[in-house]
This record gives sequence, structure tokens and C-alpha cells, in this order.
Amino acid sequence: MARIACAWVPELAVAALMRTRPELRDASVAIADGRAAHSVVIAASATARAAGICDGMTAAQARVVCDDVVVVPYSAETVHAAGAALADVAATLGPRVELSDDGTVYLDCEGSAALCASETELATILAARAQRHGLAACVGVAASKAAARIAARESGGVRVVARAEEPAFLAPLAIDLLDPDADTRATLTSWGVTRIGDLARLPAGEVAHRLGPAGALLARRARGEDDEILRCRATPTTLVEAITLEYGIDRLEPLLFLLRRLLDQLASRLALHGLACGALDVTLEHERGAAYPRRVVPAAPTADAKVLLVLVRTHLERQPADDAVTGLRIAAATARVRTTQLDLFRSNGPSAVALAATIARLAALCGPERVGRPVDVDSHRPDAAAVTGFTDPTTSPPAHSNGVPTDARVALRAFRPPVALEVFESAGRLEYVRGRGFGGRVVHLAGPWRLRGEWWTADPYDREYYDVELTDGALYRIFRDGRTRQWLADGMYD
Amino acid sequence: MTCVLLRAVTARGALAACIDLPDVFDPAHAARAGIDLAHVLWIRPRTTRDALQAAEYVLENEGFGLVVVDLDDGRATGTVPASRWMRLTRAAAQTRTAIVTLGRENVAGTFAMVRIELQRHAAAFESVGPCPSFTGITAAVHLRKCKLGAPPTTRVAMTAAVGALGW
Repeated sequence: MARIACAWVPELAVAALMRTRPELRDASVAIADGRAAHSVVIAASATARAAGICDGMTAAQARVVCDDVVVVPYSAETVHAAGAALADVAATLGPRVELSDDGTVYLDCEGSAALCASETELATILAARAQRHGLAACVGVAASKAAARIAARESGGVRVVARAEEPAFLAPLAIDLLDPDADTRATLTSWGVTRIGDLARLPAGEVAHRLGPAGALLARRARGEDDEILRCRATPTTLVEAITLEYGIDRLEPLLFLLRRLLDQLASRLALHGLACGALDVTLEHERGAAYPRRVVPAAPTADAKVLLVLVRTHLERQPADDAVTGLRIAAATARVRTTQLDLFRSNGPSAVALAATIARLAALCGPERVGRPVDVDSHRPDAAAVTGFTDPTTSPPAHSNGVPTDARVALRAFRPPVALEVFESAGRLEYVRGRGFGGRVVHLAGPWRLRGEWWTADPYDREYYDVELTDGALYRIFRDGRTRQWLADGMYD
Repeated sequence: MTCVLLRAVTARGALAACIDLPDVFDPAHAARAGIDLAHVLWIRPRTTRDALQAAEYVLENEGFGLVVVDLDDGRATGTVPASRWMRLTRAAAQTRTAIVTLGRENVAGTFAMVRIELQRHAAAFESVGPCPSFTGITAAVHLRKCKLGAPPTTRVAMTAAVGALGW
């Protein structure tokens, strides 16, 4: 006989909201089906219900009943994320997990003796782990999904129904726990059937004849004969966290505060699966209803919320939201953590994840085009230089591992852009050079070297180069542009 | 001299960061001097403050062998608060990274472990054929300060040659 554990969160919509916004835990909170004053309350916290707020009220009525009620628009994604988080927790105790449409989670705990001493202990662990992830779940264990669900709903904590004792457990409970539809409930009430045991005692054929297939299924469940199988979910490839606000955020810092919270939850869920985030899709929902997705890809898969926050922050600083944000959605594409083989004979570089975060911060500080790896451009143009994205080179051997040149070489300090010069010549020889911030009589001179190239492009060069030592003691590389006849200095030897 | 340091660090497979405030680093010359550019992170900040902030960011990572902070852009760097240098030296000590600061004055002050002053002596020109060519620079290297103990000599001469193709 199968054994099923069911984790059920009462008022899941409220619990999901509290999970993303724990500061509302003690507040009167009502969840409405929209943002307008006439939107209808569909769920409320215990505090709000104690203050007199009930389902079906409009948001305006709720505010009249309770002055300090916080009316938050319903977010299906927030609720689904809470359900998925509960399923992730359950998946730490067994591979066969089902997440139903209403957010209830079923776990096949057959063979759980290998993990826990008893089913009660397993249910307690499941409830405790759910609590650590911000969800106060009730857990029931029974032979079928329906019985386990009823056990969870009835328990208020943890309840294990012993094997073959399902009929005895169900018999005294109210028929409403089987969730009959309104017509069936009315019919059963007219028959005087108010307890599950009453329905279980009725002849199965007669019930099916009068109530149809739905009634027959209800009667089977009443007898503890539910044979519905688990619809196991696969390991998720995308984890989603979302938050909806009743107000707009137009500054970065409070937005990052909420993002950090979502990323922490995402990181803890990734840790449950032993996975990392390969790419992050951040969607900012604006007041006018528009949503702007942004994709952030770390250099290496990571489950570190701090690193992900740095990357998202960098992205948002570069492309800030142009309107107040009323909702956030983060979808993380899962990836396996890459392990790197260390080298015995070479120093270890920084971790790829930390390096990616540092480069993101440097790009935010200086501009992305001003951070990277210098590239020796394949060109004869003397001032050709380029920068490209920096990737961890430690996977490839160093270029000079077989012999390092030991002699010192003269370096050039490049002037970008080249500095315009005034050059005085006498009898065809350079006599005096003056530029911005330097100048002097020419002491020594080498050159000219004539360079002409890239005539096939829109920006050809035609230059006459000299190396000059001036009386100020410095050595400059100067050239005369063959097209404009202008003198320029493009570097100083150092 | 910075090229020699960068070359030595990158040749052993370690990463080096070049924080280039005046934007003077020339990849072509660096490659010719033997620096493995794949191991160099080139950062071109716009202000001295950004340069030192960038150095702090880099020093948060373990695994960089050398961080070169070039502050020689002709502007005064006296406005850098001492606390900044203290943070940098602490971060460098924690991550076992060497910082080399370039400037025309004593920029790091009392926080520098070693202060080296380079003085150009002469430039060498070769007059073979009709067209003379620049062949190298001779400089005197003075060790002005060393917190690691008294050095055996405080002044050496160093000659740097131009590469095979000049520039």
C-alpha cells in the first residue's frame, strides 16, 4: 500500500504574501483581485479577519471596516512560487513529488524508513523545513492523496494516519473536507449526510446511480479507497519568484531591497536542488501595466544571492526603470555548478563567479567599454588598441610558460587621442616641438619612418613618424599626418 | 619597470589588473614586452576616486598577483584620504596581492612598503645608415624607502631596449 505525505498551507495566498513581505506578518492584510477600490477581497490574514474583514468585500469596504488594513493585489505568480518552494522542500525528502494546481504538495513517502525513523518524524521534518522557507505547512500522511490531504487540513500541524485506519479516521469528519461541489453538497445535506462516515456507509452503486461519477468518486474517497496516482513533476529548469506591491517604487535602493529578498529565496531554493543560476530574467512591472524584461547572465553559474544582486544592480544602474515599479518577477534558469580542476603548478585565480561580480561592479563604476582584456589588434596602425570582455584565462596555460623574456623593454605611454603639436623646422630638420603640457628643443631625433595603410577602409592612415628627445628630458613619438599635414604626438617612451 | 612586473606575474599564470587613470596603456607595446594580455584586466577609470575604488573592487578577489594603479595623469593626487590607502593596504595584505602605484609624487605616503624612484639618465640613439634610430633608455633606480629592512644597495642602473621593430 502506498504512503503519501501531503503538505498543505492554510490561506496559501496570504502565506505566499507573508513569505515575500515578512514585514506584514502582524498587520491586517487583505488580498483583492485587483488594484481598484471596487476590487473584491479574496483572502485575508487572521488579524484582518478578526477585525471584521471577510471574503467578498470590496477593497473600499475593507478599508472602512479596518482603518489600517493593507490591501494587496492578488498575484498568481507569488502564490505559485510559494507552492513551488513547498514542492522544492518536499523534494529534499523524496524524488516523487506532485504540486497540485491549488498549491498542495504530495510526496510519495513509501520507503521513507531509509531517511527517517518514522513517518511522524518525516512529516515533522517536512513541516520544519517548510517553516524555514517561510511557509507554515500542515502535513498529513495516509495511504491515499485524499486521505493525506484531509489529515493535513485536520491536523493543524502533523498527523499520521496509520495503515488501514483511513476509514476510521475519516468517518467522524465533516463531509465538506471532501470538497464536494455545491450541487452534491446540497443533495447530501438533503439526505442528512453530514459526516464522511455517513457517506461511506451508503451503498456504492446507489450513490453512483444518484450522484453520477463525481458522487461515486466522493464515496470511494469517503471509504479511503482513493486510487488517484501521483502526477510527479520533473526537476524544474526554471525557478520563479515574484512580488506584487500595492504601491510604486521609483528609486533604486528600495527596489534592490526587495530584489535581495527575492534573490535570497531563489538562492535557498536552488540550494535545495543543489543547482545554480545560469541566467536570470528580471521583469519589472510598471504602474501602467507594462513589463520590461531584462536578462542577466553571470559569467559562471552561481547560487550566491549577493553576486546575483550585484549583477542585477549593475544592469539596473545602467538601464534604470523609467516608471514606478509595482511588481517584480525573477526567473532563474537552473544550471549545474561547474567544478574546476585546480593546477598543482600554477596559482589559483579568483573564482569565476566572484570575478564576474567584480567585473560587473567595475563596469558599473567606469563604464562597460572601459573594463576588459586589452587586445593587441592585428593591424599595422601604430595606435591600434582595443578592449574585449574579460574571461577567466586560468583554464588555458600562460602564453610564456616556457621562457619569460628577462630583458627590460621600453614601454610607450600612449596619448589618446593624439596631442596636437606645433613643430618648428629649420633647413628641413625638426628644431622645436611644443604640445599641450610639454615642449622643448629637439636634442635627438630618429626617423622618419613612413607608414601608410588601411587604404581600403574609410579611415586610412598615412603618417611620417619620428622619435624625438626634447630638452625637457622626455622622449616622444610624434608623427605628421600625410593627409592633413598636421603634427601630432601619440605617445611618450617610458 | 611596470612592464617587467606585469610580464613576470602573467608569465606564471596569475592575473594582473592594470588600473589606468591616464589611459596610456598600449596593448601592442605590452604584448611586445612579453606581457600575456589574456591575464591582464585593463580598467580605465575617469577619476582618481574611481581608480582607487576600482582597486578596492579588484582586491576583494583572491588570486590577482599584481594590481598596478597608474595615477600619473598630471593632476595632483593629494586629495586622496589616508583611510583609502589604509583600506587598500589591508585588502592587499589579506589577499596577498602586490599593489604598485605609479605617480610623479609620493602618492601612497606612509602606507607604501617600498618606494622606488626612477630617473631617466640618457636615451640611446644609433646612427647607422642615413636614418638614426632610437634603441633604448638608461635609467637610475633609487630605492627611497623599504619597510622590509635595509637594502644592500639603494641605486642601480637599468637599461630598457626598444623592441625589434621599434614601435
